[in-house]
Amino acid sequence: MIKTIKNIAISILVFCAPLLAIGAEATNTATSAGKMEIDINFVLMLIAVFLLIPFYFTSKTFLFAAKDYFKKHITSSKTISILFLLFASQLLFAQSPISPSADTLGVSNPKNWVTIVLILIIVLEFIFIIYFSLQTNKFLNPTIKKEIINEGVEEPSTFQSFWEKINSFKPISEEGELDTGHSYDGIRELNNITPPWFIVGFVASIIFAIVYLYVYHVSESAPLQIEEYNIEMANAELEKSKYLATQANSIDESTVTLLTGADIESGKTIFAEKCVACHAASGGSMPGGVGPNLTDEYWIHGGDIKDVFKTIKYGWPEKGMISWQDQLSPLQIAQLSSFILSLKGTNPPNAKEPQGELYSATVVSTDSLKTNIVDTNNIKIDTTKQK
Amino acid sequence: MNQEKFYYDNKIPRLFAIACIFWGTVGMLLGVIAAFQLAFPVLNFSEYMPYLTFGRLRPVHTNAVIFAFVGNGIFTAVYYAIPRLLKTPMWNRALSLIHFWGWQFIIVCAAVTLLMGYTTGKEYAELEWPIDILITIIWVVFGINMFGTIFTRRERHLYVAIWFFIASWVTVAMLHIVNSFEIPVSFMKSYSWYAGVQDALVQWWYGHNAVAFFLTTPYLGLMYYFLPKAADRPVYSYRLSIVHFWSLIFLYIWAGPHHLLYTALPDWAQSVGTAFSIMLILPSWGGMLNGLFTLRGAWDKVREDPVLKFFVVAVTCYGMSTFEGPMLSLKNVNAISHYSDWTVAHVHIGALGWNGFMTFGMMYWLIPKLFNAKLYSRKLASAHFWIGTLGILLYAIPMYWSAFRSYFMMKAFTPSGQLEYEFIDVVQTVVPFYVIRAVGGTIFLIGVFLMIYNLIKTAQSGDFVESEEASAAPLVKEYTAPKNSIWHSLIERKPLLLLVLSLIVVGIGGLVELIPTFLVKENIPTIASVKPYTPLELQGRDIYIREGCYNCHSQMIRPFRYEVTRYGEYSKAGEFVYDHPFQWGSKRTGPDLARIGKKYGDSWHFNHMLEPTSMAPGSIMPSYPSMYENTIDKVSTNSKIHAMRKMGVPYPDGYEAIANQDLEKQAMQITKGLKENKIEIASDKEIIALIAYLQRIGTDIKLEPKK
Repeated sequence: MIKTIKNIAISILVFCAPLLAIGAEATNTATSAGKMEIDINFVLMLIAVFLLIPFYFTSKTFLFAAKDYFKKHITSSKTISILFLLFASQLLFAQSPISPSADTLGVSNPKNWVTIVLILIIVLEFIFIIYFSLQTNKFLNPTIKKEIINEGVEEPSTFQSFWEKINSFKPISEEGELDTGHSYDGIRELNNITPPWFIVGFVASIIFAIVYLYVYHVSESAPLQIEEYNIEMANAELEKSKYLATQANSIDESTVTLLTGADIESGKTIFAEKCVACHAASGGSMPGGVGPNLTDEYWIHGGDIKDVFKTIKYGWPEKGMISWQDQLSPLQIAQLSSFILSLKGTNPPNAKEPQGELYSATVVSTDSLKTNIVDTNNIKIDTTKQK
Repeated sequence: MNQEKFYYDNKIPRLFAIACIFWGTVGMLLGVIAAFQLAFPVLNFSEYMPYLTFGRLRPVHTNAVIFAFVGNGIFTAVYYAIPRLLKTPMWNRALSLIHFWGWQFIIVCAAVTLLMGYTTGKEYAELEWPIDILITIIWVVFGINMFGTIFTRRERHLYVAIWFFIASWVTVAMLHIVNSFEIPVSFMKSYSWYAGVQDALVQWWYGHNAVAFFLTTPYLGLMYYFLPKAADRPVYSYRLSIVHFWSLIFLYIWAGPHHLLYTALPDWAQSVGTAFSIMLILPSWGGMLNGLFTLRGAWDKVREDPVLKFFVVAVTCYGMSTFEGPMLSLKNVNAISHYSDWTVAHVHIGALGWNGFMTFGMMYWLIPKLFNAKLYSRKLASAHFWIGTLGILLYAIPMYWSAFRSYFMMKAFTPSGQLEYEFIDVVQTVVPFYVIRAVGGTIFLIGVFLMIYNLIKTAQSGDFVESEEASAAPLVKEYTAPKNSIWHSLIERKPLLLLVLSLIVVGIGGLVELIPTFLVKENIPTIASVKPYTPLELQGRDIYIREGCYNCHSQMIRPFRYEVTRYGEYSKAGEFVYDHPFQWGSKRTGPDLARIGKKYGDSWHFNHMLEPTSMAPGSIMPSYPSMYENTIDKVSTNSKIHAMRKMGVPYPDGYEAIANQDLEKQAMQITKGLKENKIEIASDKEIIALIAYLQRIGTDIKLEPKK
């Protein structure tokens, strides 16, 4: 009987350990892929489902032990608690498959709430597994005691003897020889030897510390933080340029052109996410708003696509416009700039008063001609001074 | 030999025990509220009053748990165990009472002043200078009483628990005095004597060792008394006690700089912090091993006795967090954990698991003893045990998860070199984890209520034993040690020697790290363009400190690609030379602010402080409407400038007198700029000073001529 319980306990452990590792690993890879939401929930669901297996076995064993126990001792209160547990386990089984669709509840950030629900389910499963195992143990206890009496003292397990060995335990029966004779308010002190692995570990950690300091500050063979940073930046730069080389149409402020169609739609999405706090959803800001009105014909830093692109990319920090080049890719900035220029003349209500200079759109840009833009409707020139 | 009769006083331990449980409940409740605030900012109630914002509440929570809950727990153990271990009553009952009421008075003062915004801005040392002095006095009273008892003892050798109490007492005294060096500006306002990098080093030398010598070593002393008592087993190894006591107190003190890895702290100090943290693993584990091995042969009792159950989990949590701590001080791990929820999880494994469970176990053992009764319900105590364990798990797991999640999001780049996520995206994904964490904390607190009920019932069922009679022979002067006694028994017989040796042992690490950082110039290369704050900025900085912004915002950009891209050029040691106190922070619930200056316009800040979600949708920051009504405290400008100059900040002589003119001029400028944006505000409001400060942070270095 003891063996079965042990096996169960071990199987639970064996089950859980790699799952946790898988979970961590998956979070890792998922994030670098940039699609973490779905994957985290997926991993959680996997864990939840896998936990059902030990859950099932422990509950089976538990029920079996309970039946066995109640044949001998029947008390009403216990029966009720058993019935309740059975009910609860039913609920659990029923709930697990439903939960992933909890986002239909319409909570503000549904994916996150699914995560919460899944975590709660996993925790509940753990609790029940532990409860079942402990309770089973309790039910079986009388039987175990009998078995021990019948079989005599059990052989120590391999783990036990390993444990005794590495700690150099002396048998408790020989404790008397180790007594120091101290007694403080009845507290006696033995003088067991310090576990050998403790000493070995301590010495090893001291060696580690010496090597650590040596490597960083004497031989200077490991990079200190600034050096490390420079290496990281150089690598990033290399990777970036490699990537950009594969992209045929890299855009910057001198090559950007006005985009149309689907790109405007993409720009609209970006605008809704990043810009509305200061420029309002309409793009017209508001009286007293932080950013200027983007829907009128007046521009502080120029109203050409190239000017707008430049403004977004580098920002105008002294005016409170932040730089976006670290958050948005050049293509995204181009999409955003195009969307902003498409707002012209929308005349939203409650917009901010005009700021900057009137931008005239009559003269054909020489720059634009050079870059072969055919769409004449959109050809603009920069009349404002470049600052 | 003639036996002397004497009495152990149980009234003082009872008082401390009640205070411990009371403040524990308060501290944990505040923690639960603060946890919910992070998920639901409306709970800051900042529209109605400024007192309950997270930035003010969190220091009350940490101080209450450390100094009120654990502090009173330590004193309960000391006042119960020391007389019994030394066979003498406490030396002076009046001192005991002064100690008790003095400490409770300090706690009340602390709670009130912190909520009112009186803070030094240094974590776990937030209390202002009058309270610091009060703490020193009460600590000395405690020391005199303890040593008085030791000198009148009837037991020649000091037991290991007392070594820990003595070492803790002397080290806490040293840490508190050195870290609290500050120059008063007014009643309830002072500036740290140290600035920037030096202030950071002193602060974390203190902060780390507050954990070591307030939360760890006294509780080891507690364990060495109550665990063998409850298990009725002899302590496993006297030898191990000696080895781990001395190695622990010697090594612990060095590890402080591991709180400042990858910051502007000199590399050598960081490396020393890491190296000593690793060496700390085994000495810390010595306590765990001695505790757990003491239970050898008593494991059948552990299954049934709730007291032992609590002790076992407490000691295990201690082992886990003292292993985790050194791992967190490895640079590559620290890169992930620093500023993140990982640290929060780590300290709560320690606080809830080790300190919490150790205290609960002690109470379940002690209260029945004090009231000569049986514990009212073992079942309820067992339920508390399971509920508490569940609470810890529900607290810690989401925090670990959120830490990893936000780390991977923070450092994600698109192939074309842009940051994949904005800070606010990260905040929003971790909010659900904050909810689970808060639920975990609530569950833990429910367990405490079960304990309170159980203990009250226990007390009611018995009669309080005011004093216990005992008898022992007095010590005779002449003593020759038995031949087989080891060298250490000499130290155990001489309490003053033990005291002095402990002080020397803990002093070494501090001196070796602090002195070079203060004296060697190369450690903090100066930057010519870094200038002192203007009077208005200085006032703004004090508002920043008052509101506890450092609880959520760091001002220290580490040299990582994703931090530099997100926040700007990494921070340099020379930038902080006028920062009394430093405000590097230790947790980023909000973004780093080291280069916030001139990033946004004044009107952005104006709108953002009034309603953070208007400028950053999804933000969980509280709003600060009171800053738009309160006026800048211009009266203090004079003494603030004066204090700063005393500490070496180069304001010209006599600048105090005209500082307010400069202040008003700068304030007018900002108000004028805001007016152009259609924002009307009087120029003497606090928000103007805060905007001035925010717009200054981290900008000086940009004026440095390009090489």
